[in-house]
Amino acid sequence: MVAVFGGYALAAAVGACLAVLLPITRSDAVLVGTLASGLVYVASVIWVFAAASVRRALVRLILSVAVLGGGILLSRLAAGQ
Amino acid sequence: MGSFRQSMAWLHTWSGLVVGWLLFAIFLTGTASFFRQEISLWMRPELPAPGNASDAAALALDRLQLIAPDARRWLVDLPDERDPLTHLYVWRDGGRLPAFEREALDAATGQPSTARATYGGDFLYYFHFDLHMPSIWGRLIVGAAAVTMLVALVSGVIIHRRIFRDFFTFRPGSAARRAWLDGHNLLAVLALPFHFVITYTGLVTLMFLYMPWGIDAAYMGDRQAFLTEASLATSSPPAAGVPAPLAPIGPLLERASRRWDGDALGRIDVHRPGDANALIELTVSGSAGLAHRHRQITFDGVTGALLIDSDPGGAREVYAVLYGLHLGRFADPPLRWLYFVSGLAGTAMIGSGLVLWVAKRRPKPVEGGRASFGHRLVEALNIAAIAGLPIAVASFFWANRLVPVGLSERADWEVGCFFAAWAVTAGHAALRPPARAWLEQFTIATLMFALLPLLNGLTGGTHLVDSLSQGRWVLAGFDLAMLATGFGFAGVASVLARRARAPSKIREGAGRSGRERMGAEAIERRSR
Amino acid sequence: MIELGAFLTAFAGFLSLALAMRRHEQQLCHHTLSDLTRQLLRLAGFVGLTASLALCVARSGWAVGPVLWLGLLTLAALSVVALLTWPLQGDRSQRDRRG
Repeated sequence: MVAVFGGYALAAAVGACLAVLLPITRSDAVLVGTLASGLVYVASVIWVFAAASVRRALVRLILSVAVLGGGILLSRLAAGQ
Repeated sequence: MGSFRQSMAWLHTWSGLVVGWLLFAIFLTGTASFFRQEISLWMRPELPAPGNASDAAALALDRLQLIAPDARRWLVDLPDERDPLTHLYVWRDGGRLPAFEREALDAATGQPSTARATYGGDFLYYFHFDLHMPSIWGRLIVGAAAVTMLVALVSGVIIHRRIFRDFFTFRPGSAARRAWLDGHNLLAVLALPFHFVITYTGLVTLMFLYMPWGIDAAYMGDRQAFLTEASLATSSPPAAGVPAPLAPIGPLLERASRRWDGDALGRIDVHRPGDANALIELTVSGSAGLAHRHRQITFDGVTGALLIDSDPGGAREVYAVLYGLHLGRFADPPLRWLYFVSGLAGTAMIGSGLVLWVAKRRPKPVEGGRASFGHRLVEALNIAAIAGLPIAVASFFWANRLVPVGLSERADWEVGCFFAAWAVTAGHAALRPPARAWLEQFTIATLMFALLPLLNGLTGGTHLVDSLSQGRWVLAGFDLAMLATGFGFAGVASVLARRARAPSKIREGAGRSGRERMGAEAIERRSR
Repeated sequence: MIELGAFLTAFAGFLSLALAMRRHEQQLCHHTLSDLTRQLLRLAGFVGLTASLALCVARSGWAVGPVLWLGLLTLAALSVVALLTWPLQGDRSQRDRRG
């Protein structure tokens, strides 16, 4: 469960983050982000299963998603000003 | 490190099992889709041998003008060396689903093709990513299966400790699970680049469905804007409401051909035909390069003025290449066959993994143990997938020849036969003892595939002898491939029959060699 | 024809690599090879695979060539496995006698 949904959340966050933050054409950034997100999903599932306990895996995932989400928010704010 | 491997082994086993049957079906039908056009051609035996159709484009637009003058968008797929038909697609505003109507034209006359109604190879092609399910459910399920496949691949590589030492190792004579494990490893390792690339690129073909968040974040949810900006799709411009005749196509084709240095035209896309805002988009034929999205020229549909000449680059090119790698449309015959062989290897790898799961957990005869329900269920599903699906595919081809040509909804009957045959094999697998079920189904598969060329000759197709002597390699190739498939199943069936006759001997043989026993224990250690 | 050449070089390459492995040399040769021979075989194996790539690229260019190469590698490796598993008749009878 953690792997399936957490992995998806992380992958989505990475995809969105790259799409917003990469300093290339907007459409290209979206493509790169989305292309990468598939690999991130796989990597994060492996990562979760590699963790010693479910709780540790969950903590890692939440932290990473939060960092990425923060990045998106910051860039939105920066763009808004 | 040990526990990491253990959790990876667990992950590999269970992720593989959960989606294994589905992946087997996806890989099998997807592999067959590399020959989608060839299958379609065989399934329409009425079609004449491909001829020269230089004015197919003009004829197609005439036909569209006649049947759909008020459409929002026309799409014409022109005939090429693999497909003699012109395919028309029409989108209308406010039309109900399915979103488009289609019609196949005889390229030389521009009239609707009189060949029998069939989905042809397209059925297998669509099945491999939408499972013949309505709306997007099939695609979501296939996407989930693809991600799981990638997970299984990566974890599989991690738990396979001796990739290089076992690179060429196959010991079919040893204990069942040792032999199956060898086979599974071989098929996985030797075609690993293919497995990884085909699964990942498969995901890429539908990735915006699974991962729209990048678009949402960068475009605030305006997906159409993204598609247009990335030149992945052109949205129809709004209608001006002022009627205007379409520019003649001939001069536009000439100009495009000059800009493309003579590369063949593959597709004509007309937005808002008959309106003052009409656009005409010409695209290079799909077989011209590795990337899937090719050079495109957009003309004003009324004046014929050149608007955009796009040659995608950067990340778009990467995306197009990944997409193109999956479809393999650029492949010439040798490479297409290699794709096919690799696809078969993938299919066999998944199948062997499923069989391995059963072989590892087979109750030992000495203990007199009985198979648990779960074990029995997995084995029945294995039979229905691995032996049953080929039977279903063969039934689809048989139905193509036996369902009367004049029947209404004829194409759907063929598909019905596919699913009916599959359901029957599943029921059969559930009711019969496993060993018998395997043997019986492989025997049926043998007969159904091996007799197809005969059926083809008897029901109006070009007989194999004729197609060979006339050099119609596509038709001959299909028949020969069916024969080869039949022989392959015959080989499997005969091995099974031999094993059924002398089961105890094989078991003794497996237990005799000390070295093999050590090998088996090593696997057991690893799997624990 | 050039794809046949690419296949054969890849096949020869994999065969050399297999011969350089202790487990397989006994299947094909009837005596042990020296370390030097093994090194040379390994080298020849990689040369074969590289030559195969070169042929593929020469045939189809840098875009399609590597795709073709990977496909051929799979086919060649599977062929080598088949050869090792079901050796020609003469070899098998000899091996059976020894076993």
